[in-house]
Amino acid sequence: MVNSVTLTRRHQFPMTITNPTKTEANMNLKPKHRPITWIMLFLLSLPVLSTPAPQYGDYWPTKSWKRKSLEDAGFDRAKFQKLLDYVWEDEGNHFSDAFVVIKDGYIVYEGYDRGYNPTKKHMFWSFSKSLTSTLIGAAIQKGYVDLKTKAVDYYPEMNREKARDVTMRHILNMSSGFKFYEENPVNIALSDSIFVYYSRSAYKDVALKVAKTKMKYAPDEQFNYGTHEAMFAMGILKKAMLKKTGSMKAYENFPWDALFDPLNMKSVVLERDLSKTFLGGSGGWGVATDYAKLGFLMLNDGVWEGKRILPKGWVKFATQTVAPALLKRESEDGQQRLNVESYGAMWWLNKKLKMNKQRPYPSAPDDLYQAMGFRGQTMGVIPSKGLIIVRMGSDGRKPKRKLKRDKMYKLLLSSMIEEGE
Amino acid sequence: MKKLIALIPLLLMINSCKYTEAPSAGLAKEMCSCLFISGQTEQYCRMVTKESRILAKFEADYNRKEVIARGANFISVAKLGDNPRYGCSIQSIDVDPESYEDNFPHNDR
Repeated sequence: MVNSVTLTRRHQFPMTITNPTKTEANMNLKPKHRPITWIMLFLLSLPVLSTPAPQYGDYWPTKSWKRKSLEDAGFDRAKFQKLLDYVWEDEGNHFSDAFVVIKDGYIVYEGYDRGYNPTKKHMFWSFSKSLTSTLIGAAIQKGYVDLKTKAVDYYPEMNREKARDVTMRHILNMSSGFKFYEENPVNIALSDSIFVYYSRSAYKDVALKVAKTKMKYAPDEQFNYGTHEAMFAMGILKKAMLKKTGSMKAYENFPWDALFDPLNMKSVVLERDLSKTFLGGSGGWGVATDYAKLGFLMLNDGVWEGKRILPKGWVKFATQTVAPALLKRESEDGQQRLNVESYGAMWWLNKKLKMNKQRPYPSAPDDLYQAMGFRGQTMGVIPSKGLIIVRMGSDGRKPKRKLKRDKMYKLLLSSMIEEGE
Repeated sequence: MKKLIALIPLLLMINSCKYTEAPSAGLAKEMCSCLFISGQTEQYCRMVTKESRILAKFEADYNRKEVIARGANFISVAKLGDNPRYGCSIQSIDVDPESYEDNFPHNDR
């Protein structure tokens, strides 16, 4: 029953856009009176004014996500259960808090555990970085900054060797060249990522602290994933918007005006430092179904309800283009741990790099891109399959205490009937 | 050689001095966010701040939506902002004038 209703809707929706044009055009072909020509022109313009359908699915989930059964969406229920058994396994190896699977814009599975529910906000950890990237994209669309914006134009502290060449593009590619160790390999408590949030010299103005950080490489010489780059992006945006608008209000409201309100991501919280800079690299909170809307925006090339939120070409740049610093080297060098990743502009990619034998997630296709964070936060978007999955968790730090993302993708993709043998 | 090995813990200690704010500031902020943004139970928030609580203890004020944490000779305060969409931010990190061993309630059950 549900099947037939949704299928009918699905087939009807594009027709409601094209039909008036054709019908009216045919009707008005014979009489060529002027007023009718005007009416015709008006009716012709209607499809342009009405909201076009998304590239994936047949509606915009602004108000809420619609649902479909696993069968209707083309999943094998028994095989999908194997995925759920793994995600929710209660042997205590990893801890899943929320799990949502969306196919072509329809939720086919949504589940919570450990006190979480559809409205309880979960910490994003480094999910925040992909949000930051998207906010910078939205700011470029509005003309506040661009990829060539130089950090030194807003932070005079950057007027020194190597640092003065750093642009927004280097920052988004995590290739600015700052001397920064996201995770201290000996002792996590001594990581720069902790120090940059929680030290007396940083907490009042985290982006200023980044601007004063020593340079280790020239921009684009070395990829170095770190929370500092996302913080810095938000600091530069703050100063650029302050300069262009003359007030802090525009920046303070920007994430809501440009992104969260149009997409109706009601639950999202973005934390700031005392100078009102959004923390950028962390400090985001929200529910899984709201974060998934970010995935749907990316799937639809940065357009929402017909309105372009991200610049043309942004999604390709951010989610399908490997950071140039990662392409430079054919083999691993001294910084091998940092250099084996496949990374775009604050999104994790699944492209095979020359220096690696295989893709980071061999079970998933190479168009997969992910937002990822500490304790197993994962949003995977697979455009070729119309899939968005969000898994929020509280995993431990040891490898055996983490959800294995490749296994998750393997089970998910093998549960799709079109994928079966 | 032995002297050199003996120097390593000392060097590590000196190196870690500049990070001693982290346990109290980190715990204050993480606890504030967990309790007042997520609205999770204190029991859950204790679990996810396990690492920070090794060196610091906290006190949560549910009315003021504020968490004070002390540890490693520092006292830090984090507070939920007037507009909850901006979450919690660290308000202050100061050298703790008193040793928490004597004056701070042992709420770390």
